[in-house]
Amino acid sequence: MAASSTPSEAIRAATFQRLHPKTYLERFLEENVRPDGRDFLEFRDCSINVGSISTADGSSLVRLGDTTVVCGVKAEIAEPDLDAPEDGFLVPNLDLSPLCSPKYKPGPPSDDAQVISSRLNEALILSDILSTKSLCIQPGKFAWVLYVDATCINYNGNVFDATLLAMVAALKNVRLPKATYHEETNHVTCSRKIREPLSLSEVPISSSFGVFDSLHLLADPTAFEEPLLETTVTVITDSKGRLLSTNQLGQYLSPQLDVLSKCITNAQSRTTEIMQQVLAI
Amino acid sequence: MSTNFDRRRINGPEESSSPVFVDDDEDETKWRPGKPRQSRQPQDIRPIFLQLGLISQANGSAYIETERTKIACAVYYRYGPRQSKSTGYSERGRLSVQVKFAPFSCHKRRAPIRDAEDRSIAVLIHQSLVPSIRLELFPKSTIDVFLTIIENDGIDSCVATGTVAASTALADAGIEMLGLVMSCAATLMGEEIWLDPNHEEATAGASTLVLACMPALNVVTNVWQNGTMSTKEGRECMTACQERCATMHSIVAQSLVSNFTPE
Amino acid sequence: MVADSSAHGIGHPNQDGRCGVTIKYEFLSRVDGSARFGLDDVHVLASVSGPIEVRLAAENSTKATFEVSVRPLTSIPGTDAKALGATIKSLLTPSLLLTRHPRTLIQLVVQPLSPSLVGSPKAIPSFHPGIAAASINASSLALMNASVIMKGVVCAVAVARTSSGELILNPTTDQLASSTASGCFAFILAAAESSSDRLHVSEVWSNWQSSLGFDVTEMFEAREMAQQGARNVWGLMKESVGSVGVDRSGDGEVEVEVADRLAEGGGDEDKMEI
Repeated sequence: MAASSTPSEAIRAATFQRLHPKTYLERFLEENVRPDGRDFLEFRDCSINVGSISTADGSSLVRLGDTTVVCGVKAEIAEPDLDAPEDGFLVPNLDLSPLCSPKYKPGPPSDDAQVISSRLNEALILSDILSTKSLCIQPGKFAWVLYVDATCINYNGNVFDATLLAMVAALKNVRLPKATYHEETNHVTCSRKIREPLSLSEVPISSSFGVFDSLHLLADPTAFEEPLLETTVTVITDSKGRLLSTNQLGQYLSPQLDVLSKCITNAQSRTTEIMQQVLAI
Repeated sequence: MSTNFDRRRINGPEESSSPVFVDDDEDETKWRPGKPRQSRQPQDIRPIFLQLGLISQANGSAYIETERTKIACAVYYRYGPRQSKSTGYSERGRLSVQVKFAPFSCHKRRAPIRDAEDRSIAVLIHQSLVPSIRLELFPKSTIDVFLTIIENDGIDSCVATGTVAASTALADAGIEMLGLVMSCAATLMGEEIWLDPNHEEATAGASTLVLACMPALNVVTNVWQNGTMSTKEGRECMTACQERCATMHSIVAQSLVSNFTPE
Repeated sequence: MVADSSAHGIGHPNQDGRCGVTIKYEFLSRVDGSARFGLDDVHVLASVSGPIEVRLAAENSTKATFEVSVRPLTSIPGTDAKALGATIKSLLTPSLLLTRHPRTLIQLVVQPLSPSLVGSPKAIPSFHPGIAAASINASSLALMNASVIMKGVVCAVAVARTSSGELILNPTTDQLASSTASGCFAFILAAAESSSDRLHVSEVWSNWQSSLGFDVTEMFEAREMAQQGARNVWGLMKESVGSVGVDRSGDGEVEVEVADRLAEGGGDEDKMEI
């Protein structure tokens, strides 16, 4: 939109956007278009790259529009918990550093990062993406720990969807070294050359939406739209579009707008699209 | 072994350790100390991939990749008082540089806690940049430079590449500078000077030197040397680095110009 | 005050080991309002301080800052407690008239008194819908007790699907552990101005999850069921504050609370004023 206008008009529009964000968004939605030119239920283009980080055992870079998330998996070895001697560990975390947005300050993880990390962990466990039993090296003695660390490079909204996808892609990219347990010395050695992919059972795909002004349902909100939404909806499906989780949070005043059904239908068709990209990894 | 319980993160087991590899030495294609340099001449630097404006939320940003060194850099410029109460009134602007290693950026996993290494890199980059920025034009304000190291291929490489990324991002943010700061590392490998060493080369070399300069003004802004070298060798390293910086300068300046869109 | 649910049909009368809903105003001395909500084996205590002075960094010039923190029963609060706190904050916010107290802080602390799922199956990772629901109800009661001005009362219930495919309201911890799907639903309920028996109900949270997958109709069925459950919880809450109901001005509550407080034997009345 701004490209066609003169420089001074663009500056005026940017000032208006900052001072009256709500009105700014309203004006666009009245014209049935979003500030970035998308339709209400349109997701931004998504790209997935894997395996470019040689220091990680599996890695990915996901771009959802210009929201960018890098994810790397590091495999380490630990002793299993006493009450689960055959289970390894899957430890997902998201870092929202001050690099990605002026919203975040240096220091320990922000509230946002903690909440999103917790939701990511839930989604991965819920989908049963990886049986922790498959990470066992020697029961009761050694098991793999997969640290799935995601770092947000550019925060332009909907980081949850982008990060979950980045984590899934990085896990698909993992080639775990072959581990050998030596009983005499009670230690584990690994081979760099012989590596195997993880046996992933299901992958979770999430699609997020928001409701603005009780009227407009917007898919894949940007960082500008996010704080203006009174309701957020996240739908998580498995690779076949089967529902695993729906979460609608916040008040919406018009029950005639059946938000959840609409979101679910959209999420399922989006899963089909995304899965084509995931399968291509 | 690392103990890392943090209530603000998802936690794994109390302790975990990197795997021990047994077939490390079997790789014939790998470079070994004493062998000639692989795939490039001693005076060559690795190809640079540079992208500007990747981080749309920042005032300026740069992503730089030199083979296995990958660094993202963002510049945030805020006018007026910052929330931090420790910084009082200042006629001149303040430059703050923060470096963070992604947990997966090194051979051994880096638990996400601040350690001494990222600070020392930040200090070196800060020293390299400060003389170039016209801080007198930014009273009462702070210019924040954040770097995230996505993949680390040697500390010297991180300092040099990080400096280039930061200076480019500052230019992308429209911060007034006297000139772009370029930086290059060199290591003494026997009799030879190898420029832009990677991790293996830098550890095998007797001594390393990182030079930062403003090629446009032909002045040096920072030199960091460690290990043993003679003054003569040091001077040779500096000259070699400075020559490479001049080449890099023209490439970076070109990409800044082609990326520039008048407001 | 203890309200017994047996007469209100909440829960399943034919289920063993159920003791129904308990609502108790605790009158903790160092806070402005507190309440305990219990349902069967799940109990949660919530306390509210506010409006109080706010940190400069968190100050909002047009409305009160609302903070929620969840303190788990065991160990220190982790990311899951943060996530629950964030959820409770966003679903209670629409019910609060925060603009009435600009430049202040309203602080809510939620303390579950029951353990989360022991040896939780993969289906429900650390998230216990029963504790979430009880936390929300306790929070609403504590906010009322602290006379924070609200548009309506947020009531929540948990629903689970048994292994035989049947949906049950207010599942016990054991039932949750063996369930194949579960979730928590919360609604804002407010009495209509004109008649007392009509209620405005609007949804603020619906969460339904299953590792085995589920059907859209099932989720809507669960939501429908939950709405009825929430009405019952509202009825019990209303009873607990006395026959005056939820008065917008908060005057009605003070009387009941004071009476209760005297019965509990402590506290001064002045603290209840805002």
